[in-house]
Order: sequence, then C-alpha cells, then structure tokens
Amino acid sequence: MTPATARFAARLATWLRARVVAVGSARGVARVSALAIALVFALVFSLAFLLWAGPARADRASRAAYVARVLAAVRTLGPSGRDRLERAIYAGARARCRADTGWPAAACLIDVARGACSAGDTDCADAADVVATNLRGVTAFVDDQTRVRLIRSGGDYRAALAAELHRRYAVLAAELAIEGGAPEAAAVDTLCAERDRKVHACEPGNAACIPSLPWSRCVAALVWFVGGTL
Amino acid sequence: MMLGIKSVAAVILGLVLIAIGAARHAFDPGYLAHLSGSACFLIGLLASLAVALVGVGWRFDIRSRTALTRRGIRELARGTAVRELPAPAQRLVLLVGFACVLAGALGNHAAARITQLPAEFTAPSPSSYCLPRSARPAEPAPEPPPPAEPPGCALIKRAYQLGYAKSLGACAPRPAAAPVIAAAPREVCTRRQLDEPFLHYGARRVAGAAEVTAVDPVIAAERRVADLGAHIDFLDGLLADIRHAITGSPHAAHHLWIALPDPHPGSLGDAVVGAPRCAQRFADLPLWPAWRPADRALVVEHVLGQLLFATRFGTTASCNDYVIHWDAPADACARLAAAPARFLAGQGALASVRAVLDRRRRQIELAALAERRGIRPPAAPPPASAIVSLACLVVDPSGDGIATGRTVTLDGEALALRELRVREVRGAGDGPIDVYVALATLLAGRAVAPLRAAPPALPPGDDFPLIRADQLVDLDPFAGARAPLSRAELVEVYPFEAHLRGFVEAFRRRYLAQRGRL
Repeated sequence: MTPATARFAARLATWLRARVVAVGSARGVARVSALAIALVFALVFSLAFLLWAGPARADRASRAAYVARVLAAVRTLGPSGRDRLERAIYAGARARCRADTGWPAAACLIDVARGACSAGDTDCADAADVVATNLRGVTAFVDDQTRVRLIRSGGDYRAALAAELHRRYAVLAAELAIEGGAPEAAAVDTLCAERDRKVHACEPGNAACIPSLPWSRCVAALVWFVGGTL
Repeated sequence: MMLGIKSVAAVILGLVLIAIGAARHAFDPGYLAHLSGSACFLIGLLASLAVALVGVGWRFDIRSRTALTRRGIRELARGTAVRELPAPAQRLVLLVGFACVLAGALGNHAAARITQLPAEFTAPSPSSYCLPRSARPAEPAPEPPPPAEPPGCALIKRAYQLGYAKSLGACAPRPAAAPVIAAAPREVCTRRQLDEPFLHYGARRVAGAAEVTAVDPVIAAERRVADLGAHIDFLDGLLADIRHAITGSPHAAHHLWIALPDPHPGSLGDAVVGAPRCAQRFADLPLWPAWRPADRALVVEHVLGQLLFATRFGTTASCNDYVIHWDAPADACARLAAAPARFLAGQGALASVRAVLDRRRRQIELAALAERRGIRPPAAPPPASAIVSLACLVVDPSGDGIATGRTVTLDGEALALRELRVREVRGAGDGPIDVYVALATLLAGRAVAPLRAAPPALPPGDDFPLIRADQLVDLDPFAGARAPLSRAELVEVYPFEAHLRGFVEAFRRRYLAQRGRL
C-alpha cells in the first residue's frame, strides 16, 4: 500500500465513522433505513417494469409509428392518386399473382407493389403496402356469396367490390371510433392487435359484422378508410 | 255568514272533478259529438253508481254540523241556521263531476271492450273445444320464380337481339317448374265439440284412457294386463331411470389424470364461495397468453379448455362430463389397467363411472321394454367406450410422445384407456403448440395435422411490412411454421385465431365423433 493510498483509506474511515456517529441515534437509523428500503423498492420495480413492458412497449411504438407513416402516405396521395395506385396493383395482381388459395401470395404482391411505384417514392410505397394487404384481405371482409352476387350483377366488378369493401371498412372504423383513443395511429394499432381477443362470430352475408381479422388486414383496412375519408 | 261544510265540499269536489274531466278533453265538442250511445249510457250508469255509493257516507239529507265561517271552520250548536245547498243540488254537483271524469276516461273503444267482456268470458276456448276453422280468404298463389339462366347466356341473348345469332339455342327461355305446394296434414281434434254434451265428452275421455273405443274391450283389457306385466318386469329399470333423472347423475364420464401439480390449489376464497365451475373457468379463454416457466399445469389446462370447451370454435364438449385429476402418479395408467375398480375408487372416480354405466344399462332396458310393449323404442345409447373414457398425461423426460391405448374392463364393460408420456411442457415460444398436438393426440387418438402448402418465400428486404406481416396468415404453426413464435414482436400480431380455429375445428370433428352422451 502506497502512502497516498493509506492516507485516502484513513480519511475515508474517518468520514464513515463520523457518518455512523451522526446516524447513531434511533431517529437517524430509522431515516436511513426507510431511505434504503425505498431505494431498493424503486430499483426492483423499475427493473421489473423494464423487463416486463420494455420490449412490448417498444414493439407497439414502432408499429404505431409505421401506421402513422402509412396513414400520412395515403392522405398525401389524394383521391386520384389512391384510385390510380389501387387500379395498378389490382391489375398487376390479377395478371401476375394467380391465387389458388383464395388470396394472392405475399411474395408476388410485393413484386407488384414495387413495380407500381417509382424508386424513392416512399409515400407511394407505403400506400402500396396498404393496397396490397387489402387485396389479400378481400376474402376476409366480403364473403363468397356477396362476391358471387357482385359478379352476377354484371357491372364493373372492381368498382362494386371496392364499394362493398368501403362499407365493411366503415363498420370496422365504427369499432375504432367506439373504442376511442388518440392519437389515431396508436388507436388503430391497439384495436387491431387486441381485436381478436373477443369472439367475432358472423353469420354469412351479414355486412354489419366484421369477422376475426389478422392485425395486418385490420390495420390496412382502417388506414385506407381513415386516410381516404377522414 | 256560515256555509255548511257539506255544501262547500260538494262544490269543491265537483269543481275538481270537472277540471279533471276538462283536462282529459271531456268537453271537447268533437269528442262529445262522436261519443256512442253505449258509452254515454255507461258513463251515466257509472256516475250514478258512484254518487249513490258516495251518498251512503255523505248522507245528503242531513244538514252539516260544521260550518265554514269567516273565522274558519266551526262546530255548530244544534238548531243553528246555516246556508246549505239542497240535497238534490249536492247530488247533481257530484253527479256532473263524476260524469265529467268518466267521460274523459271512458271513450267509445273502452265502452265497446267493456260491452264485449261477457261475450269474451263465455266464448269457447280453443284449448278446450274443437273450433271450426276460420274462413280465411284463400291466399294468392306465389308467383313462379323467374327461370334460372344458364351461365354465359347474357352474351348470346345480346347477340340474338342484335341479329348476330339466329337462335338462342340452350339459352331460349324455358318455363319454370310449377311450385309444389305441400298439403298440410289435417289434425284430428279430440277435444270437446261445440255442441257436445258434457257427459258425452266425459265418457269419451274415460273410454279413451281405458283404450276401449278402438278395439274389443276384452282385447283392450288383455293388452292392459300385458302392459302392466311388462312394466312390473322392468320395474327395477324404470325406477332406476327415474332415480337417475332426479339425482342428476352424469351423462358421461371422462377422466384425465395429469402428472402435474394442481394449478388451482384451494384458496381461502374458494373455501368460502366455492371454486369456479368448469364452464365459468373456460368461458373466456385468451388466445395465446404469455406463460412463465412455472405455469406448466396452467398451460395444459388452458390448452385442454381451448380444445374441448372454448365456444369461439363452435360445438364444445360438455364441461360437466370431464374430470381432471391433478397431481396424478406417474404410473396412474398402469395401476388403472391392473386394478381399475380399486384405482378409480381411490381417486374418487368410481361413483361417476358406475353411474354412467348404470344409466346406459337402464336405457337399454327401457328400449327392451318398449319393444315388448310394441311401441317404438328410443334411440339406442352410445357404446360404453364413447361415454366413459380414461386417459393419462405424464411428463416424463424419457417419454416418447406417442399415445398408447388399451382396454380395461369395469363391471363387464370395456373402457378405453389412453396414455401419453411427453418429455416436457413448455409455455415459452412454440411450446404450447406441442401441448396442443400432444393433448389432441391423447384425446382423439391421432395427431391432427392440417395440410397446407408452404407459401412462397418473401423477397429479401424490410420494405412493405404490412404484406410481410400478412404472410403470417399463411404460416401455420401446427403445420410446422413455428419460427415466428420465437419472435416477441411477431407474437403480438400473430393471427392465432385463424390457426387455432383450423386446428381445434379439425380436432373436434374427429374427437366429438368418438364421444357421446346419454
């Protein structure tokens, strides 16, 4: 031990002895004990909260941020831009993504969505993400009976389907309005992540009942409706 | 000036009644003009009755003993002069008041209903009498539906209209088939006829009960005796059936021994208010809860609830028919196979199993009784192996995860006994999927693996997050796509409902077909 270290140790011991003498009274001991217990509790609770809610909260925040981004993109496009993008992706999916399972494959739709937007146009890409996801969700929103009826009606099937989907999206948006909550992107994410916890048993053909939905389709539908009408 | 209190009361009461009548539009000229004769008569009658009733206590002919003076109400000495309305005038004031109130309350409709009341009371009831069919106007025949148009005919019709085609061919309009109206079976009425004397009706009922109307009385009596004999022969079964109905013995008994600690050890609250019932416990199960490593028994209970009792996936098994024996010994099934009655008695399961078997035996006896009586027997009960089942789930590090089955005999009935030894029960990651598959294998006899082709791989990159997340719909963890379940950010948005629905529905189609209830 060097002389300097010995001096520092002696000084520290003197300081500690003085502190111990100062808190040696019963009142001082109680005060220090209470402070220590409070500090330990605060530390434990903070750690527990971080362990329990930290990752989930971060996931929620990043999802809500993306929802806000695509919502802004859909609004930025405007009615004509939205219509043009929807037509382009619909036509591309129809031409290139033949689906045997009821909805086009995600991989093919990503290719179509990439082709529908010019490089660097992030608003278009974000909105295309919504449109393509909605295309995969058609069967979840509109049952087979209704789609057959729309085909038999003989008019423009795409326009009729879009109108029908708009009606169903409005019902889902009503759920969002009832649940409330702001800001809207976080509310959309929360509703869609937690919606399946309840049972949604729909009779076939009941347009006022939206069945159980995956998070992605629920978000895409709500973003398209809210961004396009509100 | 002193006014007799009766006169004052009559005037005030009359004015109040007239005011009430006026408020009820009794003086509305239009209303009065349309008041029917019977309504007027009824109002007059009831008003007179009311005045007569009031008059009994009022005693119009006796002068008031109290008077209203300028100094207030005073008792009067006998013979004191007081101003008093004559008795007829008091009656008249009250009569007018009552008539006004009644005129406001009783309209033409009310008067008509009151007039019809005696007729309604004396009208024959359809539950007691055979009433003639009401002469309803014949309903117009429904219009025939338009003929169904074969697909693709719209273009051919259009071409025909424009002259590009010479004939419509198969698209030519065809007459629709005439609607077939099924004739409703005519009901034979055995109630009392409208013109039937009561004694005749009574004799007909007695004869009907004794079955002496349709056949020879001697033959009917013989049949009665034979019927009674059959009932006496099957008396034991009949009484046992009634006892089962009254005591509410179980309709099926499925016992499952699980070698894991009870996830709900009795608490003080349960001791006071009772443990939650099975249906209540499984009423609202979350889809994919987060589990801790110590929640192994809770995972098994949750999966069992989803497979059998969750109403969100359609038809469920009956919750009351199932008993889970927690803390089961690892060799439960071996001991069960060696000495079924002793093991079941030790576990408190023997009574319910025997009750179900006895109930089934009684139902078979009642079917035999019905056959002997010559009447249509009830549906045969399910086999014993469908209404009683025994199964064991053991967590054993050396377990192979393969369900084994054998048969044990109890009271002469062969019962199915299944056992599954799994290596571990995990709640983290894709652990619950293993539990779903294991329990489905144990209960339904064979793993239920839905067939689904793997979706094409996504192009590289992290763009289009929504479509990439939507790909999870195609990735069924029960078909092997379990990787996303180990990523917390995907678990939060994983479409569990769709995948669980597919698996549970497939399981129930297999499992419920093997099970039955009495």
